[in-house]
Amino acid sequence: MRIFASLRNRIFLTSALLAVLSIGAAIYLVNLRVTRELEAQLQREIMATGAIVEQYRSTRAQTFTTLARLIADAPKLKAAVDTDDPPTVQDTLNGYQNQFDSNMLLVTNRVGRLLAIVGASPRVAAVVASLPSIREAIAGRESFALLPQPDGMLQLVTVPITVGLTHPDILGTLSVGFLFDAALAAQLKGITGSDIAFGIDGEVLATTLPAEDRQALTSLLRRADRSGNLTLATGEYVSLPLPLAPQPDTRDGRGPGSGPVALVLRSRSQQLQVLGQIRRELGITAVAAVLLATLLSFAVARTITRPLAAITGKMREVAATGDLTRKIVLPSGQRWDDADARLVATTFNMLTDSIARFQREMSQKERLSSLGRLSTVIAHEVRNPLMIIKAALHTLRRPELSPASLREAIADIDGEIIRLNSIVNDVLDFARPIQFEIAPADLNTICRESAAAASAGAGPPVEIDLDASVPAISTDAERLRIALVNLIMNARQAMESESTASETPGAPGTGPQGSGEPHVVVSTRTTATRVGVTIADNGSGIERDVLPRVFDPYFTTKRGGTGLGLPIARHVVEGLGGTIAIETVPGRGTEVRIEFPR
Amino acid sequence: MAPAQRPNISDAGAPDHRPPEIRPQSVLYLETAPRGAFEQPEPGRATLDQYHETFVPHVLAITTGTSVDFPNSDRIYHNVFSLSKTARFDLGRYAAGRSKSIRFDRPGIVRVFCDIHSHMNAFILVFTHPFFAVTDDEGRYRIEGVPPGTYNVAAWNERASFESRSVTVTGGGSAQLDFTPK
Repeated sequence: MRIFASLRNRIFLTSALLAVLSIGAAIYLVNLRVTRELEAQLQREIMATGAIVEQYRSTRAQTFTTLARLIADAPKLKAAVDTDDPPTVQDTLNGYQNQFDSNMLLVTNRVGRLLAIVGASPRVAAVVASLPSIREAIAGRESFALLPQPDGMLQLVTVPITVGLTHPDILGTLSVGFLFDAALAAQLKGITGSDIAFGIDGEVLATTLPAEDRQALTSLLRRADRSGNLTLATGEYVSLPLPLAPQPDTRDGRGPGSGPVALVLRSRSQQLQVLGQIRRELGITAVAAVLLATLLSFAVARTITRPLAAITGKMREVAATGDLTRKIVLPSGQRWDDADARLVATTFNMLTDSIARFQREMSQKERLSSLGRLSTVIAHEVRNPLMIIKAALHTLRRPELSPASLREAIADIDGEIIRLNSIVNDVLDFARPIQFEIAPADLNTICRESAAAASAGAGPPVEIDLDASVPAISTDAERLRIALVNLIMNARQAMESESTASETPGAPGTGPQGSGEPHVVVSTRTTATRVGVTIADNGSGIERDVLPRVFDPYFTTKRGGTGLGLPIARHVVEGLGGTIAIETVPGRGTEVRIEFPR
Repeated sequence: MAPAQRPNISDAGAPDHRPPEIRPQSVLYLETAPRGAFEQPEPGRATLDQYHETFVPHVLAITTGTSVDFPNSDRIYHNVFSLSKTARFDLGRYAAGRSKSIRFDRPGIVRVFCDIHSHMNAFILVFTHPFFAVTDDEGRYRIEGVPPGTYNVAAWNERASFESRSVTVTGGGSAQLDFTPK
């Protein structure tokens, strides 16, 4: 992927990814642990609540049993019950109801007939009087009973009313009832903070929860497994069922969900709220940590990439200018100094030093080698004219010197001196920097003069094809003219040597000669931005393996050439701000194109 | 006479482990009194003692007009009261060594309690005639001076009920009648 191509991105992304992964894992674990811990806490709380409710219930049962025993032992009540006269008993009983906070008091005589009742309707009284617990009490045993009522569950303690110590006489029974009602549930809720519901046989009788939740509670009561989670209109709850019957009544094979039960309901909303709070804080922490880690990794990545950028910037400069003396200087003594970047910079500086040294050595070698080649050329080129001059001098020393021979010898000496001078000029031209004298000049005029100068002597004709719209340019007319003359003469000489049985080495021996009679065309052209001169011949062209070397100094294929003509021409053209290019088609001809900016 | 069969509440569940010497006493009496039996020469007196947090005797039978003394022979305070229809009274609490009395003018059964000691109780049976008797520890009884004639004899026990039985008494003779609970 493209973004991984950069070291900075790799370091940055990897660090950021590591941060996200580690922080994510940490948060996942913390979240898991907190959730589990809160769940365990909820379970502990609901168990504690269950214990409190159970404790409360048994304490209350004990209290009311004690209360029942106390009332039943009161001589006034005994005396009243002994009369078997309901108004008398009722009168006594009313006094007790005022003193004790029970919901119901009920007295029967020794055969179970109702004598007095307070705190309950006659219908309820009839139900209570028919309970088995009354018979149990008549038989001398205390007993408990639970009775569903519209407003709650009535827990009854029934005790016998006896008189006498050694042979107690059972006078009747006393039942004390207290309600598991909404008020008691609210009281328990105040103590435990949990919601309470009392129910029996799958029916909810009293609860602290709103009425709309009764349906859900009822269905929970009817389930076999009444503990677990419960979703009500007011939220999510965990429930714990507590059987209220002193001994779970399983003898009659009643199904699950039967029997009196207190449901302890603990709202999850607080837990969820705490959990939500913790999760929010964790999330904020995670985001902050990831941001910090990202920033840090970005900064760390930058400690590498910033020196790298400085290094590459300097490298680009060196590449653009070729100035090998430029050095990479990294700010030292910084806190986040990167040793690797410093190593790269030092190595690059060493590299440029070496390259500069090699370059110096190379140019030294080049010069020496040029000197060697020049010596060969000069030796060769100078020796020929010297031999000719020596021969002419030999002729001149002959006694019988004819005037014709004298003239010929003088002409030879003269010609060879010119040639020697030309060789010396070429060498100097190439070796010395050229001093241009720039002035406006007409390119067409230069071309015309050059063609005329180069047409001297035998050889193919030179034609000119000039574009009259070519504007005047700023150039050194003299230098340019010499270069053009050189190029035109090159072209003519090339074709001449071909026409005189082809002495050019490497020239094709056979093959089609140029189209038509050999000739050279000098033409000028102009475009919007450039002006150009083309020197075209229709000779045999230049060999493919020769073409790349034609601008090399001292390279020549001509006998008597110094190999400096084309290098000098390029030297001049490029010195004047132009370009020179050679295009050749073997067997068809060669074109030299020179272009200058307008 | 055979002792009156004590009521057995073990039928109702509680086993009876009471020692025999303190079995509750029964009262036997004539349901229909002979003519002239109601003439009382003078009102009598009777005593229902309070001793060791117990009314002694547990069952007292008297004729109407009899005043019953309730001496406190204990070492602590006692109270005597009753809510019975026959006699509704409350003598209040009084210290050891003191005594209070009350006269019973209406026939019937009076059960007395002590409002300090909830286990204390006693029965006073008030008759219009003197032909009654309380059984002894063995359950025997004797009614004397009954004019010749035929009578229904009834038995009362605080825990049991008995069928009345008829008996004929001849002059100078005696008759024996045994009761068993229903």
